[in-house]
Amino acid sequence: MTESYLLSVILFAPFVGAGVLIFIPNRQALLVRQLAALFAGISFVASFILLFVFDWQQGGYQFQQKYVWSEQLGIQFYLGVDGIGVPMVLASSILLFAGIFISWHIKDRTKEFYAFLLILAGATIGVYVSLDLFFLYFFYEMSVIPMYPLLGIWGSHTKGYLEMTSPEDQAKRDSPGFILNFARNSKEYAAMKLTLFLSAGAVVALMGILLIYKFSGLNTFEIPVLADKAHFDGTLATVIWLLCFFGFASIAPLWPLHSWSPVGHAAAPAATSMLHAGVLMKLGHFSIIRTCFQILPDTTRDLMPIAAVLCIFSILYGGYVAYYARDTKYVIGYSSSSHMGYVFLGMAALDYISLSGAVLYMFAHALATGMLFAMAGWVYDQTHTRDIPSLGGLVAKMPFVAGCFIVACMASIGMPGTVNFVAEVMIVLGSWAKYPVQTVIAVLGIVLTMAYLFRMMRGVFYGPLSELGHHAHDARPWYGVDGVPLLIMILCSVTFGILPGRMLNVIRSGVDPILARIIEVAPVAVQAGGALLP
Amino acid sequence: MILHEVTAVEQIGFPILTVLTFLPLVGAVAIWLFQKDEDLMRKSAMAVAGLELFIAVLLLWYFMPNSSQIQFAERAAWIPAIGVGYHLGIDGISVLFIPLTAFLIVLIMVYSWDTERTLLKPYLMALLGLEATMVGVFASLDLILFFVFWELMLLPSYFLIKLWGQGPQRQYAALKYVLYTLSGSVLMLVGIVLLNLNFHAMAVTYRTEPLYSFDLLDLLNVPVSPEKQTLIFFLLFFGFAFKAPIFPFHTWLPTALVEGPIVMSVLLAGVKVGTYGFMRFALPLLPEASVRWLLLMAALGLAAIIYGALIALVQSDFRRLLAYSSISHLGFVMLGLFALNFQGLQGSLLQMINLGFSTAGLFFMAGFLASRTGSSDLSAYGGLARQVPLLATFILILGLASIGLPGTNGFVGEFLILLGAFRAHWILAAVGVLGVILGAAYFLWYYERAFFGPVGPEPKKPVHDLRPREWGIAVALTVMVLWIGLYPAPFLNMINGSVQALVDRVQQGSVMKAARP
Amino acid sequence: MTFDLNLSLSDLLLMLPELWVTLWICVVLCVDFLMPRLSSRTIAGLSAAGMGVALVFLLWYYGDGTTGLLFKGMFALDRLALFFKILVVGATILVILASIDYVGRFRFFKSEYYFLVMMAALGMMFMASANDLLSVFVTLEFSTFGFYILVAYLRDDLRSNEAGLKFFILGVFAAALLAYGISLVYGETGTFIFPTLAAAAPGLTAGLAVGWLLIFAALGFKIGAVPLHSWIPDTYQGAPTPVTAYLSIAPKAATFAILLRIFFSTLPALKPEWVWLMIGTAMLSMLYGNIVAIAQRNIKRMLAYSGIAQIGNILIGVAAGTKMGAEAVLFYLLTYLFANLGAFAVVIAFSQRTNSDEIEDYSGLNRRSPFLAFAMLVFLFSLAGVPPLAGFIGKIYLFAAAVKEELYTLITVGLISIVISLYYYIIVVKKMYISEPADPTPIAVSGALKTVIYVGLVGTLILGIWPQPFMTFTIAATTIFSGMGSSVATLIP
Repeated sequence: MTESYLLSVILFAPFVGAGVLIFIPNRQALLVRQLAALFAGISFVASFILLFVFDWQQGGYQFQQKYVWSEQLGIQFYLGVDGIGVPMVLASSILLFAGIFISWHIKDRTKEFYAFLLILAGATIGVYVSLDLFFLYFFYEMSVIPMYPLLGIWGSHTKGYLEMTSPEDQAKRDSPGFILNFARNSKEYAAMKLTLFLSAGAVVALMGILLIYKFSGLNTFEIPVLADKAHFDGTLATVIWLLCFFGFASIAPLWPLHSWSPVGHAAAPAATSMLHAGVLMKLGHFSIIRTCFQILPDTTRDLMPIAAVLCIFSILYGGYVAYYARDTKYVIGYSSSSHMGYVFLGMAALDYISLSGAVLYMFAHALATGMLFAMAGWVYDQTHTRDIPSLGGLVAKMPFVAGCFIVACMASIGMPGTVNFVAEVMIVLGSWAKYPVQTVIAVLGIVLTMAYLFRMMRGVFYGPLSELGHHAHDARPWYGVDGVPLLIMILCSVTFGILPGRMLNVIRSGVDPILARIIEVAPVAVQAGGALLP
Repeated sequence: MILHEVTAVEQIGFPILTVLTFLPLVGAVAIWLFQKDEDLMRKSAMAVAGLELFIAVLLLWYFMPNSSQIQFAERAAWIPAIGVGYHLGIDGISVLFIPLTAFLIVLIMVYSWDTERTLLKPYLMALLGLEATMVGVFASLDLILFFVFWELMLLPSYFLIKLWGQGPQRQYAALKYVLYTLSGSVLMLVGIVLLNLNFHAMAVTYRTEPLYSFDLLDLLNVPVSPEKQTLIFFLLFFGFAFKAPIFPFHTWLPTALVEGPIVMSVLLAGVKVGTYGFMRFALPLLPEASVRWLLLMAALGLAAIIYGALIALVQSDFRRLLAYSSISHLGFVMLGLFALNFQGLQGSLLQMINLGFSTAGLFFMAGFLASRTGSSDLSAYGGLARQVPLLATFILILGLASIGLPGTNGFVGEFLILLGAFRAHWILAAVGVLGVILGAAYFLWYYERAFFGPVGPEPKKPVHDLRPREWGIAVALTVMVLWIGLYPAPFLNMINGSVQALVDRVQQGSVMKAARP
Repeated sequence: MTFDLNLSLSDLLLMLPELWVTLWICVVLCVDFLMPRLSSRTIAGLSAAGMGVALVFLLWYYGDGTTGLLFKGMFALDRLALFFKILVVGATILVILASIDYVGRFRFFKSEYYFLVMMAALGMMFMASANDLLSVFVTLEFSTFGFYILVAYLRDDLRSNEAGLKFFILGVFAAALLAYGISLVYGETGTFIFPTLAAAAPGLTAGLAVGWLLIFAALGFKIGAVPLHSWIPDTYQGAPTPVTAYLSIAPKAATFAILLRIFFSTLPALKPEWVWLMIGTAMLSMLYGNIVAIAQRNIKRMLAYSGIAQIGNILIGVAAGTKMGAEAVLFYLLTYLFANLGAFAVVIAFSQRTNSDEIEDYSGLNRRSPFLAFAMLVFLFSLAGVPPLAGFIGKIYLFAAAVKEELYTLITVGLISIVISLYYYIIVVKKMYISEPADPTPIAVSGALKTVIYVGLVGTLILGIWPQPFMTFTIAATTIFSGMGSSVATLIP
């Protein structure tokens, strides 16, 4: 049957695309773009098929493919999605497809850009479809690295950095001591910080994975097998859980570990920030579900309150900073790192509704933030600044973009009719019983979101037209490549907001079995040890 | 209370409420997509609004008076996972609001026929969108569905104030309006969720299906413990009070009414969504809490009455005066609501409708005045009665209606409210009456200064009296005012059944009932 | 003691590759003498071809599993030896190819260069088979002599001379240590042969301890593990770049063969003692190498220090002290071969055109030669251990082996050092991709170098994406260590 290869199609289309692009000379920029769009389109279409072919009554892992990859290390190349993976795969490919068009106007080294972009997206999809811890980590680490060139080469400096032009400033701004100054950093700094933070988080998680690998005694990385057979207890379980949780939470980003993220968002080119905020950050939550929730259910039940506490700081701190940020992308970046707090809340409550809500929220947030970043990127391309005070009145110049931006803001604050609303309601509904305080804070966070997004909207699009905006163009709504991505994302957001039924069923089919093991006492497996054979 | 329902199909044969809700949206989309020529836009928008009004009248025609049933009900599953359903239906409490909205929108279309020139297409779309969401709010019986429309109302309102407002501060006014109401409504959302959770707990204990539900009728069937009621009551209270607005949370109203466009003022002052929310959800769902906090609420009402009236007394700006007067009137409505007896509820429900004619009408008149004198400030007026006798007369009629002169609709409403208040406690009634007197004072005094007395510096050139279109608006409003004033029976019949049911509910309290048949 | 050399032809066959290489060396030398106007390219081709033939022999042996002992077990030809010989010969071929243009710029002694390279190769091939302390000493020195000259080959370059001198003096010092250690061990046990040593050294007397320690020190010097690394940076920087490349791979690999033989098959009993030695050396090497590498401005020095760190990584496998550890060591050496040789090939190609090894001058390489920049990117990321490249698998293999022995501190240090190394590798990437070039003239790459780089790329990618065949290769090569803590693969029925 063909659909068993569906995941391979979705996963490898971007990689093949990147491979093909290498052989296209950089002169034929248009051909490069078209090819990139083609391969992204393949996995775009395929992942929609995935959503509708996925059999939610049956649930479990579907479209599995398994090949022995290394016998003595017990690694299998094991693909498969459950109800949690499906929406994330969909989000990734939507954002990739949209991102291709968003960055249509990139002139410098087009080939490399699209190659890296495709690798990034492909690796992200890889995490969502791997059922083998090793490959989960493999793709995870792999998705981090392309961020460096993407930010470093095609990114943009902050206004503060560019303003430091006098010689001593020149010396100062590139000196190592300067790296603590977030608001005025260079794109290189952002890129390096992001890469190192994420790699550091990754190796912490790797330690956890290795411990699971050793102490399960099963000599396998297969998640289903580990989930069923492996059993950890006492301090060991706690240690592993903490390693995995904080290792992966650093990309999520959970509050104390977040500082790389807005800086990275801000420096990145539009398409990259879309993928970064849209799906890369969700790798954290997803991997936590795969490792902590599935392999260490008991420990999760005991330790998840940590997340419930930290998420408050995520929400409030992120929102607070976003309100005072003067840089469009900083606002969006902090807002999305604040919104990730909701997901953590939904996960921490350990409730069917709230966890499903959290997963749905990941999907919703991917679309909403994707739109915001796309629009911010468009404004930057037109005006070459991200500084809100020096913008304004752009609605006259770009009504269509302004309109989309308003829709994006509405989606992002969870206006009814967008999928974010459904997700928020579910999170609130599920989390109240356990964490009423956090829930109320989260709800007030929505007002905060509203405040800073409207503030940004007013600063950028309304008021007197700034001289920077005089030559700005609007995105062409219906035809051409500018409007397409925006419309795609808006359509998805609204459609799934009004008809979330199928996606919710799919998500539930993935959430239920996992949560069942956490809420009820997880089945005790055979004692760990070398004697245990798969 | 056990509400039985009659489906739309057996009553009228087609899902009339869905049509009412989405017709304006379709119209808006049509205008967006197809129309280029402005005149055509106006005409088609007008046509949509007219058709809407016609269907709304059909609704009244087929409505069974003196019954507490939910009528024209429609059900469909929406998000079964968390028990959100698409459930529309109206009863005596909501039946009058839909025609009122449609009526006002038609008048607004007429009013803005020649006044609105800038950005016509989005303007019409915003109006129709607003109408759709308002109708949706009144028609939906599922709390999440209600919340959806409730929130979506903000969107067109925001842009109506922001883009077509007349004051210099409209940006600020718009944002203030949205932030206030949003912060209220998110708390309301929590309240709604809590109700659902309470239902869930019951469903789990009694092993009934469905496990989750946001449906008003389902929620009415499960008891809520008093302390939980208090919590939820205040959460909902914030949502409704910010929107209404009730006295301490009213500060956005004057800004919005003064800075915003006339049409927005008409709708904000004319369609009492907030207090409707109290009557629709807060009272029946949380009877114990309502009884328990009766005095607080009534006190807030009285405070609003006096405060609004006193501030209105010293206003020189007509629209600002109207704004504070409508705060004062909302006080009356609250007073009647929390008298929690038949007359009180009946009166305040009727009064909500009345204000939709009188206060809203006065805002139209203010618009006419402003369009003539170029300002809504007293300094621009003076001796207008001689120049624009017709306009002056209509303002007088509507004004008297709003202060409750016998023979006008205001009288019926306020009388019933005071009667109810008196039966609740005589002090309430006494203070309420004081409000009526103050109301008469501030209106008549302003009227005297504005229309009689010496001709002010403005206007130099003679201004002409009502144009036909304005004439039509004024007459339509006056007719309604007098009709309700002189022969309120049909309207009262329509609402009585549900009001009675509500009163019973409040007296019985929320006790476990057998599951809905 | 007396040797009675009764060699049968079949015995000689066991050392056919060595004999062939010896023969070929003479051939090349004679050809050079007799036809003086023969270009050095031809000589290079000749030598490469000869080594290629040797490679064929080795693969053939590997294919039909020829093994055996010679000279009372002084010379062992087992899977392990074959593996390392294949590694060494392969490295030699690549280095010869990489040298062609470089040598082309020498003013004299062009052909002798290849002669010396092959001499060193021959020595290392014997090292791989050395199965007793004496042959360890002889072969080690034999292979090093070639390098003494090669390092100092640029006569009129002061750096090169300094490097040569430093390398020579320290090398001799190491040799002395080795000799002293051997004598001590011999004094305690009265035998040189490893198998008998294993039997003859039950406990750990003071003499033995000092002896083995000295031997380890000497070997540690060869592989340049901290604290015996001091010769590496200057030598790397001063030596002709191809020699540096050669030096950074082949001798270290061969030395690891000896290390494994000594510590795994001879001293398994003393594992509890020497494991601390390994752990300590590994940690020091990783931390020191990585941290100092950050400060480097010269790419050869940077690679030198990163090389020290890499050796630290490999020692993790040794410290694990299991068959799996050995497998990991062998596998990592493979990945290291491709990545490091490739990186040096890029450095050669770059300095051919620009005469500079400063990292600063790599600015905008992506604009001047996308191919070189991309190749360097891949090699550096592979060294850093980024999926889907070889280095990643190698590191995972090492860590997996170590975690099974519960060496958590070691692994932690290893993980930290990954992050640190990422930093300075990325600095180079930044120069190549982000900074703008000083002079944008494109850089042409000669065919031979291209071949080397392509081999490196292909190897790095294949080992990263489909390592299974190579893993089986290493597993087969380490069967002799099955005695000590078995690889988990045997656990699976």
